[in-house]
Amino acid sequence: MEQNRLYDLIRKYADDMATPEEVQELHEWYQTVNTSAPVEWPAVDPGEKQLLQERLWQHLKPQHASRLRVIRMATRAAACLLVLAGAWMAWRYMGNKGPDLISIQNPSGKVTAISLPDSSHVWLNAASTLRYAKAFSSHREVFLDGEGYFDVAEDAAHPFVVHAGQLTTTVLGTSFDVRSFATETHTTVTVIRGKVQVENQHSLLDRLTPARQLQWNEKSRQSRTVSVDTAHTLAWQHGQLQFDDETLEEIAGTLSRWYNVKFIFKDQSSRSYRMIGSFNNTEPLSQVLTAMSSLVDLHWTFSEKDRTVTLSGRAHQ
Amino acid sequence: MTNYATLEDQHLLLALQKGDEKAFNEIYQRYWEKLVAIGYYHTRNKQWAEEVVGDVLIGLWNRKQDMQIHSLSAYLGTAVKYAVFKVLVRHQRRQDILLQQAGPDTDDATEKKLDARFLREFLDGVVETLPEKTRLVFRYSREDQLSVSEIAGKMELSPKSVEYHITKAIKTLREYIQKFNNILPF
Repeated sequence: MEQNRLYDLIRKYADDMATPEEVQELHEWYQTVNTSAPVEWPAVDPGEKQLLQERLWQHLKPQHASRLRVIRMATRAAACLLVLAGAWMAWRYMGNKGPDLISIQNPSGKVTAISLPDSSHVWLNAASTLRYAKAFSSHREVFLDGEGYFDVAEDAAHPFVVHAGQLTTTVLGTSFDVRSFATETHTTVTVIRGKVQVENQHSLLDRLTPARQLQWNEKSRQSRTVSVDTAHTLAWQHGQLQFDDETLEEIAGTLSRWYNVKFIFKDQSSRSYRMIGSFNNTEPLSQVLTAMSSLVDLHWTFSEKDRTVTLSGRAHQ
Repeated sequence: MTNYATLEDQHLLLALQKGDEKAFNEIYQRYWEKLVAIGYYHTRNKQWAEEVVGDVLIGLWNRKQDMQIHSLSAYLGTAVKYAVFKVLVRHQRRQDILLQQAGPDTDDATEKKLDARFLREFLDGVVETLPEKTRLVFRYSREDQLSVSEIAGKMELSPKSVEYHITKAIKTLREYIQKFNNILPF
């Protein structure tokens, strides 16, 4: 049956406007499944069944999702820490010169929740590292490469300090997001709850209130503070790969950290092309690429060997 | 500990009605292949096929307390047909929006109407399970719009017993479906 005819029949059927012949035609089209050969499901990923099941639960539990997710993430993080202890958790001894540092390296493809000794919590985004001294409790100070969301336990006597890029963020008890990837020119600090003080090596830059974001340009060493939608800032913590008017280069950066791939742009002008999009981080890379490419009219290929995505064509709508 | 994999559909349904997530997961495990195959066969698109499965199972979960489902496979069989229809019109609508042949808010109603039709078809199946006399009285009353005295004359029953059968049919249907009264012609 021709597609338009089919859509037409379904609409009429929904509206109760189909003639008995049309109803029969529609049902015959539907029934043919029972008479034909078995259907080949072109499975790419053996985990598809599992992935879809997880996505279903995300749909079914939007109300209490955030709490559950935290718990789930915490258990997942615990499991991950156990299983991958050798691979991803390195205990680094700095010798006699400095304090013993604990270093937690989060790989691509996952968000890891960490409980600190003072019962503060940190969620580490993909390809991010957190370091802190073994004697953390008396000296609440951490070092971040990449992106982390901090929910800091209140303790007025001990300020909590995050070092990231050239910035130092100081708080007493609050929650905020710090993003500082070596591949990006800006380090940002976004406040979710409470008050946060941000300084560089030399001076105080700003005191931030909720939904305010300080953007520090690591090259020009200039800062500015803007209002942001914190839901967007924390989308990564809720399992979303969200792009809000970002350049394809920035998007490629995020995707490369999440999926552990490299990107090659055949056409350099496409790098600065901007787009909006949101994907579930459980989505296979191929689906994200296909959706993205079709929106901006690019073509993608993926080389399994060196894990490289090549984008060809010139981005346009 | 209950081993869900060995439970009959009937018991899974009972557990599901109580909001048992493991029962839902087991239903998913049991029917995923069938649902996704039907979805894929009709849409020839993996993503759409997954949407079909999602529609069916999210619908099952959301309605678990409102409907008494006697046969899980019969319910899913009907539900998947409507989910296929819904996903097809949904994507055609998206296509229309992309090509700017339609505004973003046009024709969303079709999916709701398909939902209503699904519930009606499901209830028709329920009507079939009524005792013969009750079913006949009910059909005369609802489909042919006959009055109580007309039905009484036709079936050689007293008006009182006609009313009894109608009440009984409605009561049964109400037990099957509680939240969707508005779409029933009562």
